Amino acid sequence: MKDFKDIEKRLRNGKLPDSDMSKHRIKVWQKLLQAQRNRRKLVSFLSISPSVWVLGWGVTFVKIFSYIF
Amino acid sequence: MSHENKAAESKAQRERKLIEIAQKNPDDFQHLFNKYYDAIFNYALRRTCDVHIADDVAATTFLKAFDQIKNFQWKGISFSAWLYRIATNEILQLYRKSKRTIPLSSEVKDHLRDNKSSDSALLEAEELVVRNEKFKQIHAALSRLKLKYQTALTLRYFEDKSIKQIAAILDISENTVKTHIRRGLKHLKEYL
Repeated sequence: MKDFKDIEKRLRNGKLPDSDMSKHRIKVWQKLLQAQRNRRKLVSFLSISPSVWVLGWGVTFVKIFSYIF
Repeated sequence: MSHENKAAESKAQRERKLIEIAQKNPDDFQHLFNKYYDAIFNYALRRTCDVHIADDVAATTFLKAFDQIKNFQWKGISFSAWLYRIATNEILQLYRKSKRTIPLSSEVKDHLRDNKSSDSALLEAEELVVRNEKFKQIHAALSRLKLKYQTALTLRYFEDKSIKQIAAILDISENTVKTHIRRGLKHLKEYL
């Protein structure tokens, strides 16, 4: 790495300093929690037992059928 | 065991404890989030040079980590390396989507940008980028390199990661990391 000492030094000196995101972090955490809750809701909705889905569709089908005829 | 090793070991133990707590109760993930958010945001910012994209990358990284925390196992990769790995993959995915390296296309930027412009912390971070000519010059040169070289050089010289840590983050051998850094520096020398 001898040949690259200058370029390594330039890179290290040119590094963008750290930004303090402590205030922003709180907002991101709130958004993250909300997103996580929405995901959990969706997952629990999709994980409903197939028999419940069948029953639900069955009832809907019967209702539509009785409405038409 | 040297003093440094002892300190590193106790730091690792504390981190393990935090992870175990978060695995039992996902709401305690906030401790890990608070500890690492700034580091991941700053990494994404140095990598992309765009605060809005960095903000999205950091948020997505933690959302994915939050989802997967129960599956995280301490096998050769630390939690922080795991986060850096997720963030790196997110950034690479964005670049691939934009079909260009840096800067990202304006369509992608517009898509990612919403009402964040009013956030003071993001504005300050943006100011920092705008005012730092030295960094912008280096970033422009870095952006001409292949993505794998950009990643290795950013982790090594901006994030001060060791070769071993970079290898763990990128899931490649230490020799490959050294090669990426050497080749990256060689090309960068031509552009700077």
